[in-house]
Amino acid sequence: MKLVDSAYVSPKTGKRWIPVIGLEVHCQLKTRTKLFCGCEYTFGASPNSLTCPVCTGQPGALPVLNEEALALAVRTAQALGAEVASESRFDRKNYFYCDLPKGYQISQFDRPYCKGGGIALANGRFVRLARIHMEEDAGKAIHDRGDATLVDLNRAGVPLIESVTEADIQSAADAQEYLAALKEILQYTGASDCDMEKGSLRCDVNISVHPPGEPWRTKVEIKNLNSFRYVGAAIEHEIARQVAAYESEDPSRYPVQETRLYDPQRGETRSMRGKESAHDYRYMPDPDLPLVHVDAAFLERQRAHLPELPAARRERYEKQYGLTPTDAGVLTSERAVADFFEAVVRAGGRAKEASNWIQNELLRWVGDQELGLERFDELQLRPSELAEVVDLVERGTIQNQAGRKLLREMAKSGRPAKVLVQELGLEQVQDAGRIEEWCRAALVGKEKVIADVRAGKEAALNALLGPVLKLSGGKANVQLVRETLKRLIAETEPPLNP
Amino acid sequence: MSEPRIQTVRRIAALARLEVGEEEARGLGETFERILGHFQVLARLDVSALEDEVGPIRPAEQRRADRPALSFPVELALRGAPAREDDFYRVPKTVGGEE
Ligand SMILES: [Zn+2]
Repeated sequence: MKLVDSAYVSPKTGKRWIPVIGLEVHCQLKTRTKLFCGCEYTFGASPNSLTCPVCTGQPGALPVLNEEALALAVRTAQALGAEVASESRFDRKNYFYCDLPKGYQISQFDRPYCKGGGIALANGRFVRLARIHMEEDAGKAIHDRGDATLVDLNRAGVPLIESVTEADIQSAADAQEYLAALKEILQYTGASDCDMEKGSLRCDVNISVHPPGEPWRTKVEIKNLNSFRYVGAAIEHEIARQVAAYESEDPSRYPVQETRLYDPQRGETRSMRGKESAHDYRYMPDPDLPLVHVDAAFLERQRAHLPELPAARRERYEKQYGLTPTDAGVLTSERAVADFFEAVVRAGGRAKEASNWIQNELLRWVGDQELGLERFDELQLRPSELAEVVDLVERGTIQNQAGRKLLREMAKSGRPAKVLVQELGLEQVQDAGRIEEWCRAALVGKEKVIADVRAGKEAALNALLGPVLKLSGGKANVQLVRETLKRLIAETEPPLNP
Repeated sequence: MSEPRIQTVRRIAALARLEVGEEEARGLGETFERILGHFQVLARLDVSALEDEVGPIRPAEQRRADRPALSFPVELALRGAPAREDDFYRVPKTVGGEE
């Protein structure tokens, strides 16, 4: 037996290298207002329309912590099995940049609100979290508009949590799995919408490689990763780059401690600075803010808000509904989908069928222009309506194909199934006389098929189903068509004469 | 003026994004030396049992409900801007993270 690990095998030398990877994820909390002031943040608002004395750093303005932000941060910690500190502190992280009006960012340095916890991966590896802390976001600097930099401070002060893993990750696949699981948890707890396109989830990667059994080597930081795909691609590229550098045995090419940017166009990372100037953020406790105390009662209140988490739901779906791990995984990956599924089952839909219809139809509609559906939770279809369609198909009132058409029409128009079945003429034809007519017509000239069926090859019948369904406009009951065809073939001896 | 002291001045100046000339650095170095000298008095105290804090008292703990308050009208927000372009603050070109 061989121990499976995620060692990287050099394409040049065949030597094995162990990647060591840690992730830092910034996630925007889903509050209405900013972390320390009452400005209401909305993505895409006109520039500098959402600022106030606090978030623009006017002299004398004092920050006051948004309790909902703390609550969401605590819930996330609880969902990740982390320990919430009974007392934590806000610090000032000092640096000068045009998107930071105060000259410092309010963050948490050595006394974060949360430590520990982590996420178990499917391969059995556990990615430990070192810590999570709360902090405010900076504004946005725009550099591509002429010879000046333009600054929009709407984002300044938006609440973030930054979670930092231990270097427990060994591959791009692990990193992507970790991020997907983290995103699921953040969405389930309602802490964040995790919309990467709107910048509410951002990821930095720390990465180094070393030969098995040797000490860790210099780590490189990669920034600017705004999709999970980029995280995977950047890690793969960076592992290969570092291994090639070491294997060149030219010390001038060896990785140095630096920050690199991922360039998605070229699929490579490149150095952000010629020489890393050591940051000195001169952290100091923020005298404007009290220590943050979280007591048992607060923790209990937040715990009561926690939903059943994805991993627990998956397990239950397999046990309770007999779904496969894959089906359970798809259904639970988004809370809105899982909630919808359960509501369909509650409304009387059978679990397996509901699962199939959601996966084969509803989930494929996301991103559909005609339906104008960007996210699953925008779906204009009630769970009871899907249950109804599933039932209509199960009973044979309509065909599977017709069910799909009906469902789509319901989502589009919001009209009830019964009415649409009539209007669209979707009801199955069960009339034996009409079905026999279509079958007879389809049998004309099909001596070979008939002979095959007589010889016991029942599968040959399938060649006739298509033509019959076509003649019926897709409405003939398939079971009846099969039976009728078999009966006609058996009855018409000697062979049919055209 | 000791070389390490000048180094400190240069480092602080770099962090504060200040351009400091040779002559100025010397003058600032002397001032620094005097100021930091005063702090040396504090260094004699044993504070190992104390947590680093910013003062003897912290403001009383209070939190806000997540309810929106009025923001600045954009005209007011940008009144103090060094320069303006559309509804943005306009500042000298500073490319992200470059030191
Ligand atoms: Zn504000």
